[in-house]
Amino acid sequence: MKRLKMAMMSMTHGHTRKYYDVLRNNPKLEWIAVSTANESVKEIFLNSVEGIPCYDSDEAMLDAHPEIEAVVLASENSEHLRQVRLCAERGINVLSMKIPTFDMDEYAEMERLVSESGITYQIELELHYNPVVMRAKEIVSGDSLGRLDSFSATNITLSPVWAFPWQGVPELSFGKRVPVGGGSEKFRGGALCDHPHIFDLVREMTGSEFDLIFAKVAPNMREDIEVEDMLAVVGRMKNGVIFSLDPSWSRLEHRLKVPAPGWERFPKRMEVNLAIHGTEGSMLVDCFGPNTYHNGEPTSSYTVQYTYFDEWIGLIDEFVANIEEKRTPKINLGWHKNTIKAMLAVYESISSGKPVRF
Amino acid sequence: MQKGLDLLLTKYSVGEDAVISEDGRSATVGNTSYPIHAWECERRISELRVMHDSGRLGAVCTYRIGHTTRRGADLWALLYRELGILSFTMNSGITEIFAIAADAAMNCIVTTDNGCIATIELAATLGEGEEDVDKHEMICREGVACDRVVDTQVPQHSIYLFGKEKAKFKDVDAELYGLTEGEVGIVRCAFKLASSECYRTESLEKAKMLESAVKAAKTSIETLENVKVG
Repeated sequence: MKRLKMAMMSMTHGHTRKYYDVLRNNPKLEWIAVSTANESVKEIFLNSVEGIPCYDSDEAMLDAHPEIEAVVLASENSEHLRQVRLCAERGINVLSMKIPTFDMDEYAEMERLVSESGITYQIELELHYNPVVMRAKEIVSGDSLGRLDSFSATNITLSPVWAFPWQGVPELSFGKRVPVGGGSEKFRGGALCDHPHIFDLVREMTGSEFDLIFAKVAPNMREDIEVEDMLAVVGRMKNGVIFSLDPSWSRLEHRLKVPAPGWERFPKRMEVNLAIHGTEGSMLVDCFGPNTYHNGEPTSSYTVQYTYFDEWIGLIDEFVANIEEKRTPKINLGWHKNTIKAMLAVYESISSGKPVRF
Repeated sequence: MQKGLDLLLTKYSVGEDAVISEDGRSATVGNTSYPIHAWECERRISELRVMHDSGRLGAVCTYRIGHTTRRGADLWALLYRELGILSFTMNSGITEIFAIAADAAMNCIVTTDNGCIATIELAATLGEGEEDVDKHEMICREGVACDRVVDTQVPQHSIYLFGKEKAKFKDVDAELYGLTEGEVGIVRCAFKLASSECYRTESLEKAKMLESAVKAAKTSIETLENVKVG
């Protein structure tokens, strides 16, 4: 069986370590190399994985391994356009992290590069491969709930900024330094930029696009970071379904430099819960539960032993199939554009104090 | 409920009589009707207030409230209750509200005068015999207080009975044994109204503020704008 020759770039993204297992164990993949953005992530990588060549620059890696067919852009958002350019020039397929860019001119440039080069460009939104979400979508598409009325979702987590510092730097996360406004002294680039999933999910599950968004920023939980960490979003889709979305970093964490047991201060480090109401019923969904619980070391605090549902297996399977069969990925730049626009509208609403109409 | 209230009034030798209205929303003390804000006497809610006032959680940042009730229920009454809980547990007034509604659901972003940004998600979609699902979560700089268990989605009970008879029980008050959690709140609040002139005055003032907030929500739904309260 021909295996897809894959590499990873930068290794600064919070999801980097989630690819280790799948790149080693998926029989359809051959892990060729990685490039690291700095000494810190290089050291973490070398301590975590053995036997994979590691380079100090993307170019050095690509020059040394012309056989690379696909790359995971495991980088800060500000690096994405440069890396897409590198890949497009060489005909290398791309699996991008969840935010290609917040700059719509850059976004258009990425679309052009992908279109002209003919590469596959898939965006990592792993909830699509979560079995609970798959079941919820099936129920919504059936007749149990009737016509949808309301969609509420949380995507609340601890803050990753201590382990992945770029997520707390406005220029690296949002692309530039822009005050959040709305009474906050913080800058764009925080929790909202980390949590596009529910903005994507509401579009897919309601089968509609955003009509109106109103949002407010709350006082930061973490006063010592530069970016927003708490916000609330409500609004309406074009088909009349109202929504409420919470993309906050509202779960406190111990400030570890490398994620490890004991990272969470609140027992559950991540929660994606949905409440969907229709004319015939309601559905409550916990996309990451139930779990196993303990109060073991290192903190002895009661803790939810967080369970991944192997989302990355399905995600990579789809990526490989898209390349082999020359299919356009479901989460492509075209589909994802309205999710990014909605997130920008959240910032705009916070800043203006007014709802944004589409 | 009235029997339970009479029992308390006699036991604790309260000079005033009180009569609970049929719908449980008000009590008459003397010749005056006072609103019953039953949540203020529900243990799980009053413990949130205790957590807030103790300062152990630090400053409040956000507050998440969700309440799904039976189909056909009055969403405005539900909003009044949830705004009341928000205001009571944080000991804070309500200053602004943005609300958006569909047929049987409503979502709001509420600002309080202590700077908290709260979300209230309401729906009236449950079938006959189904129990309300609600949750109140205060998210603060040093931690979170919530009236529901972490990693669960529905309210828990104290006793689950399986086998020939299937049942669940949640008894919360030995003096008022046999009343539901909601009924206990109503009786305890009516008792407090009968016992304290100060509380009666405070309840009237609070009702005025909550009615203004509900009115602001109605205006917001019509105009799709963020509306100041009062």
